[in-house]
Amino acid sequence: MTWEDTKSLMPLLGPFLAALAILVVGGRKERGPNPLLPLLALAGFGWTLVGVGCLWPLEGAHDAFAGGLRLDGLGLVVALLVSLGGAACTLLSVDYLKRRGRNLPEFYVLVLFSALGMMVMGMSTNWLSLLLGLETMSLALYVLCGFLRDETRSVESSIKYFLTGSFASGLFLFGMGLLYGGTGSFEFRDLGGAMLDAQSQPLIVVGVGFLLAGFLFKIGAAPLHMWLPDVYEGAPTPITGFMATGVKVAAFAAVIRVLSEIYQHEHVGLRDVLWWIALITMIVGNVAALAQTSVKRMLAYSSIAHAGYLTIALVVMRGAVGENGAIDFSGSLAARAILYYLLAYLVANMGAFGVLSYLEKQGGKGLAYEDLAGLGFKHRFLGLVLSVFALSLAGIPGTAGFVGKFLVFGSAVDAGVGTADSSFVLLAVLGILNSLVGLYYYLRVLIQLYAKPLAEDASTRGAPLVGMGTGLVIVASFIGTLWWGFGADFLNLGFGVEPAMRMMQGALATLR
Amino acid sequence: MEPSVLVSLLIVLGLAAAIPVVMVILGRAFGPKRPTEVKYSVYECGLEPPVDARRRFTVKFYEVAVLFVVFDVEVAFLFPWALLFKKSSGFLFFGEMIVFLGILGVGLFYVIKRGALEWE
Amino acid sequence: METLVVLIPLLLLAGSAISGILALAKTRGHEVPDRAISWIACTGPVLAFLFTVLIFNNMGEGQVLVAGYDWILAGGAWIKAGFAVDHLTMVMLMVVTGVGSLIHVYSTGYMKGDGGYARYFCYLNLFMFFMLVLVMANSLLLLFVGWEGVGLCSYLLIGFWWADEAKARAGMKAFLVNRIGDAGFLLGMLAIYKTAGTLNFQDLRTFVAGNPEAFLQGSGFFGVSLATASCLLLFLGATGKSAQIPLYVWLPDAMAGPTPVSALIHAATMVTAGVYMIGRMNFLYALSPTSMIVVSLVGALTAFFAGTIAMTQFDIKKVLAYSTVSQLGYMFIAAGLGAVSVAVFHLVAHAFFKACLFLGSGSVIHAMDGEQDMRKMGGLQRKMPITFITMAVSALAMAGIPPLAGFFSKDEILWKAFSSELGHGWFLWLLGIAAAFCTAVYMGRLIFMTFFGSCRADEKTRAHIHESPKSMTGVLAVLGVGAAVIGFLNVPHFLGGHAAFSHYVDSALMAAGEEPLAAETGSVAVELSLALLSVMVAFAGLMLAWRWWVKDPSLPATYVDRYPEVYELVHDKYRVDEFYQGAIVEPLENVADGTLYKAIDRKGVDGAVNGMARAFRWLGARLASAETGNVRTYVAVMIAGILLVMLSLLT
Repeated sequence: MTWEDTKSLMPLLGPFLAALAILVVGGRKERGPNPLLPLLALAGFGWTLVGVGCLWPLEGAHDAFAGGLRLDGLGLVVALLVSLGGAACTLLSVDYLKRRGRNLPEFYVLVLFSALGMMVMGMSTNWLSLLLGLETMSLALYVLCGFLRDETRSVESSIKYFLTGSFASGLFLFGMGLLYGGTGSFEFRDLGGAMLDAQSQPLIVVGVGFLLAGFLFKIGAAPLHMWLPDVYEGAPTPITGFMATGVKVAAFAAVIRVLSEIYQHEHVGLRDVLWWIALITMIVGNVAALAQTSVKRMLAYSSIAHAGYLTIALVVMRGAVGENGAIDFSGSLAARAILYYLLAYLVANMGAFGVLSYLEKQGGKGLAYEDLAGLGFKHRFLGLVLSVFALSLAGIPGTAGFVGKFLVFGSAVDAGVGTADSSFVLLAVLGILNSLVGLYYYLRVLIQLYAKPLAEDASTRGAPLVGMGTGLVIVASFIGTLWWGFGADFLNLGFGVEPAMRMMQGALATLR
Repeated sequence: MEPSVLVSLLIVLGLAAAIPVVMVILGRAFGPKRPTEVKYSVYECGLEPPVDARRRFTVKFYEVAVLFVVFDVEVAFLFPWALLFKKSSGFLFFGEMIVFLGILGVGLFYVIKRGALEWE
Repeated sequence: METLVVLIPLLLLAGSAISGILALAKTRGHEVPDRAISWIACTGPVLAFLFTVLIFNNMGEGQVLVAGYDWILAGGAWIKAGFAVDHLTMVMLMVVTGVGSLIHVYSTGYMKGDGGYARYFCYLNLFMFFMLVLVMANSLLLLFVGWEGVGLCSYLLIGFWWADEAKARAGMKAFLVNRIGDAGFLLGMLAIYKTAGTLNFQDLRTFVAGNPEAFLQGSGFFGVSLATASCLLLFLGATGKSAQIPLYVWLPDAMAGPTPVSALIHAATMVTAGVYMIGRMNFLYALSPTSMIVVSLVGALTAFFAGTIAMTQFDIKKVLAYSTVSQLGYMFIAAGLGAVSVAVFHLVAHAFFKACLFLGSGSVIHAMDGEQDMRKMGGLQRKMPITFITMAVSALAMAGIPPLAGFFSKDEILWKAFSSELGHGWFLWLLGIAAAFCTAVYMGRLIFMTFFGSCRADEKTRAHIHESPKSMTGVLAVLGVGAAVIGFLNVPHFLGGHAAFSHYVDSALMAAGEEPLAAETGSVAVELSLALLSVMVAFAGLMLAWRWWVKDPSLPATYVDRYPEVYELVHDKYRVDEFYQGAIVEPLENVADGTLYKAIDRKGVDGAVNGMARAFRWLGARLASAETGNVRTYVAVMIAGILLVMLSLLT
């Protein structure tokens, strides 16, 4: 560790210091809302955003903790996305917790720590720091899921997540152990080469299998998805949004780092396994989402489906080894597709959960499809933005979700056409068919909003006005969903599709 | 991977699964079953429990226990640090531990302010 | 000029936004006069039309106006989002802004007093914005954005009167059916992108001209070439948007929307997007004779079948809907023969007479107090003279009576079919002429049942019948005149004309010195006699309609009685909807709801896993003291999944 290292830690310091500050300021016996605390949390995320802004564009990469963390383009993108999600979650939580009477300092501390864990995960270059990030993130999230401790479903969600999650962590650790046994190293970079070594291969393959299982659990891919709907449904809605997006960002970034090493030595078996997982995940997510009656649960299942689409890109991802062993994925359409998809998913999903967190009533009620009936006419703006978020999640052109889907499916076709192997193209076709199925349940939201008469008791519903935090998140997500779908950077603000594309491309140039 | 490795792996897996199954089945099948009231009573050398063992304790026990574990384990990091201190680069090395202890300190501060250590 | 190009769609977007805000303000209880909304809503389209005319006048021969910015980085190259206006786009712009403006003006009369007045114009302006994006797009991808956008707006407008369940459902159907086509479109687009590395029309054309062999290689899919595969996939998209077999089922149901919407979206503009797209991609279709045959055959079959269905419908808008499907079929015949300019000419002519017919029928429905059944109309010609005259002119134009627009456009298509060197040309011509006969019959039937004979409405409605306000009849008159005279834009050579329109459009589609794709064989004499034949067929159809529905209205019933099965089959639209419902929709719903979700995710997996869990529990006897419920299931599934992953990794 040198002074040079500390510089590269700057983006991480924001949430960390903010969490400590909240502990110091908010730690007192008399419990009550303190308006300063969410502001501190926002300042923490703002610090990270400013840090990312100052460091970008990054020439090369900075290492910290003896190479355990690597602050490169990908790390910065992860920090950016996670802190956007964390800030949105914080803003939503202020209103949400106030209504539930649970506006406590610990909530923000935990959000900050989980965000910190996500960032560490996305920047890690060896198994130890990866595990550290994973656990920091997960432990905080276990508690956050059960934060509404007076509501059975919230507690149930927390316990379920904890039990299954710790099982997954165990798998992860076991895989790490096997890999250490096989390679004698904790570094990702020693993995690819070691897979060629026949003697230690069984150990490594089994180890990679366990690690893969751990990752798949975190992103909610089938067949390790069973926990997800229950957990997402029971958790406080802003946390559900943050889990669906932030965890995916962190896990996919880490997977990109690991796979970029493994794929250097083309391991076909892994692609085949991922192929099937992508397919099963899409089908399970979409089909199960069709049968849901609660919008929140539908979004949970659809989050599984999105994990499936993203896995398609993992299957077809390919990169180049540059001079002196540097790994460059900036030419990989698939890797870029993942990052862009995550961005699109982040804004649309935070927005959608933002609207839901506003509509939700005590005990998680008020989120059935029928509860949305005719709301498009009662709350014009909410109806409009919720429609846009649903359309973006469904991948309708003109929204960010379409650009993401276009890139993902495009990358699969790109990898497949012209080769003798038709499996990639087949996967793209199956993905598109799946997104057609997905359209059905997203459209049900729109139908409820606009094609159904207002429910009888709606006039007496008397929902409070949208709070400032919720409103801010919804409006920002709305603008983001449209602007990252179609916006041109006319004013050179660095905001729009093109700058984001360039950022994603640059982020993948220095994976090693 | 060599198929032979896989086969032996499968054999081991199969054995591992089969042994407990066989044991339990054998025990069920051949073990004599002569239940009496005494056999169903609590184990002989113990005492009759006065209350249900799964009753609820006050959360304060857990709090104290968890806090002890946390701070105690964290402090264990001081030992390797102390051993390496001589060979270290000096100030930065020292500073790192100060930061670490500072974080612990904030935690302790929070715990105290929050009243987690007060019994009443 | 480039600024004007960008301004045209932005005007509509701004109009839509302002109307939307006004609609919002209205629900908040603010007083917004309808008059203000009318002015705002109509300013956009009219200005856009003026700009279009301005551009048209200042555009040089073969000039292409381009404006755009970097959008998506795919592969190594940027896909630009931008506009390119050439002659083909110019024609579409004229139609969209011209007819669009007229329909906006008409709507101010038609929608007067509706609660969602501002919302309606918000959607309508937004629709025009997306339609303009569609026709001005410089790349397939941006075209697709417009393509989806118009679909979305059409969905919103079909379901405009949302309180009505059936209407909301119709909107849903339109959207879902279209998505099937869109999946094809998306795949076709990806295949093209993979092959050529670009989706920009100009670059694509250059690429195809430079290395056609890239598109002629096998696609690895049933042994067809890449060109055929991508063309057919794109065409699947077109059959959805332009309501062709097998995806036409949504259009008749889409008539649930307000009538001006039917006129603008489901007759004049949106549904022609498929024709436009094929015209745009003409150079690619030229590489794939197979796909061109498919396009023209599907077009011809659709033209014929939809024509027969139209003869048996009683809902005045349904007749027009099926006739639209049929006329779109004609356009696809021409597009499939490579005669893009001919297809586009029919598109323009059709935009005029069909918009006029729809708006006229709207005027009738307005007068009849919402009644759409032609059996309850009749004898309206005295009471609504302007509506009658304009509709009659349009109907005659569509039936193909010279010298009205439809004669020139349709006859040209039939001639192209007959004279094409392709082996199936005669078959297309036969279907086309049969469809022309149907056209004459159902147009005659519509006019005669509505305007002739005695009024069959009840007393109350009869007292209500009146001519529509000036904003509506004025528009009808303009469109009627258009339907009458627009054919002279493209008088063919054998009648002493110069085919000016075709030259104008072709100059955009052909490189210098290139000949139109559909080479003509045959002499002027043959052409002339065929034209005479089709006119005779049209007159015969009208005569038949006159005999059946004016002279002796009992006659149709006797024929219905004589062939009840045939009549029932056609009247029930060949039961295609029922077939789709039974064969596709219901099984899908069952699979989703019953089988897959319940059986696999709940029963199958849970059952198997519960069984396993029970086995574990039995083995572990009293080890498990805490009842954790389902979590055990979850973990068991995880274990099973991990085992699967391991096994597949190890083998």
